[in-house]
Amino acid sequence: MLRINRVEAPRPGTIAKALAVLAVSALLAGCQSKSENVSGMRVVELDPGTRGPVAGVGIEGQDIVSMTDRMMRDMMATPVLVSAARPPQIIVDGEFFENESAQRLNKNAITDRLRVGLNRNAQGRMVFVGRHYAGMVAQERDLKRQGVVDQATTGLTKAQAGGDYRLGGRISSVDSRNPSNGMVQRYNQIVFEMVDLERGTIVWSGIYEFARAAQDDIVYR
Amino acid sequence: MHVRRHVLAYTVCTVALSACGTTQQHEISLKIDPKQQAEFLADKPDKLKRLYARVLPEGDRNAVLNYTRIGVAAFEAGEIETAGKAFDEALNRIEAIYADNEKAESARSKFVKENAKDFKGEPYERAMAYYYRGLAYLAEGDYENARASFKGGMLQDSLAVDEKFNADFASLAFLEGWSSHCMGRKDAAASAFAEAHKLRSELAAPSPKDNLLLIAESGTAPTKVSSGEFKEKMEPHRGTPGIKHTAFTMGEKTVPAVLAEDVWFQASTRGGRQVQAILDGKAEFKDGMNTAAAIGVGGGLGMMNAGSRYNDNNMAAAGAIVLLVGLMAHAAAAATTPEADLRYWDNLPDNLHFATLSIPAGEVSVTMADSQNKPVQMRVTRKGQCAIGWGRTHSALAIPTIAPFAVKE
Repeated sequence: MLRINRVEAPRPGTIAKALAVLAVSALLAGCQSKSENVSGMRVVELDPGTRGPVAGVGIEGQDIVSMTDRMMRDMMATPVLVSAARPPQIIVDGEFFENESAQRLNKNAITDRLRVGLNRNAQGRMVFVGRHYAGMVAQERDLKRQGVVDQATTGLTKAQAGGDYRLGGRISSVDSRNPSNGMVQRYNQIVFEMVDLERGTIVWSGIYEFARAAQDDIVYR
Repeated sequence: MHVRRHVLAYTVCTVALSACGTTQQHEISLKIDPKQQAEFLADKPDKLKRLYARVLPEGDRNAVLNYTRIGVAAFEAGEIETAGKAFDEALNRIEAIYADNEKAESARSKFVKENAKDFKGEPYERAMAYYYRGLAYLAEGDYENARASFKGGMLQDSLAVDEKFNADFASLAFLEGWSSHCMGRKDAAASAFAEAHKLRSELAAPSPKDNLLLIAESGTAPTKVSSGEFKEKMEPHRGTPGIKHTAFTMGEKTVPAVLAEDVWFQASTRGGRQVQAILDGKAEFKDGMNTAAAIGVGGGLGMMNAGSRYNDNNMAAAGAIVLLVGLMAHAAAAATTPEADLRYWDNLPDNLHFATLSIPAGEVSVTMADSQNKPVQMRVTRKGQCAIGWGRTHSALAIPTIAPFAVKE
């Protein structure tokens, strides 16, 4: 036999009390300030080619990956650099790659990635001169010539390698801000050029540009 | 009897709600594992340990505040690399865009104080963070990044309501020019020096042979005070005024300096903040709730008394409900927190004085006058094409361990 339990209807006083408690609870919850993320965030692997959780309007990791990949592909398709009878000797470093932008930057992060990518892909079609290691090389050459160490296996040369071409370039930015709403906008332009070190001609140029805009929360305006 | 019990219960709730209007959870230091704290402090310079000791307990909310204080103190202590790293920590946070940020969102809530947000500072404080980062780069001989820092600082000074006060940090324009000058970039230097001169006529381009920049910082930081019925307005307040004229002494030679920046002027010419509209809204809400509370409590008690006097239970019950509504309005008013954020960077100077000159290779000794007009040795650093000498009338290390209004212990 089916038994049906009778459900008692709540009394009006109970509803009022419940509502009052709910209202007070809501108020209490509202005044709870968000505390620090005490437990933090565990280490996560990020793809350097994609935007991470922290971002601004300037050059970021994914831009460096993207721009160096693009410049490398472009240089690898430039006959004067990759199809010469004798592989040209090339210097790729930050010495003449100037940061004129409003962003603090370790420009070696750009030139190092470009050089490594080129060196790995060129497979002997270009020879890279490590001018930034010149001091280290000079030290070893002195030791060899003084007889402190032996001549090793590749033999001696009259001098360190000179460069046929060297990377030059410029990082520039045009920044603007709307004072009325705090919106910031930055146009970033990165120019890469390969300069003939005898004639001063530019044998290859590449440009990477992008613009970004963002706006802080109103509490920062 | 029932009515009294309910009133008592709601009074307890009211007291609980009122409590959240005083110290809020975010204003209390975090408890840090002593082992973690010891590891964090292990490689920090002894002079700066007490300031670094605040970084973990105050977390991200005060990270910019703590790192900027540490940065100047480190610069004064001659710990240039440490100063650079501290300012990098601060600037990375200043440059991060806070959109869809939970803490910023909570700071907009009626029941959470503005100081719940991560501190980024007012535009003059942000610009000064770039200024010091640039000085650290100059001391390290990294002129490109020094120039980038000074340009970045100028961009921060572009939120003033009055257009004529936008991007008017003449000292940053001059330093941008100085960085280019040290790199041998004449055109870029000339353009920046012209901009600096336009903003502040005393700042003339240096001689092409000049290779020493001397900086004297005088006075103490602008402070922030609250005003308004509910302390909902933040107003800058001048610290100890800096000296108007100063000079450097190098052996027998006296080198006059020019006033390159008035930090107090920068702090006081920003105009209205957009966040003020939110704080005003909170203050208006609090005011409205206070009025509703006064009416509800007064009216409710009156009805309860009348009900009791005339033995009218219905009127007494209705009075109790009105009283409860009044108490809840009172609780809401007490919980509403329109107080403006008063945290400020307290080891900034009041003004900056510059001079440039040409010096031969080798060590130089330069002095300037301190706040008591006694000569103090300036720290001169030379790395790269140019040297930089820096000194202060008021020590950047003479600050309390905890920044003003940073936490409530």
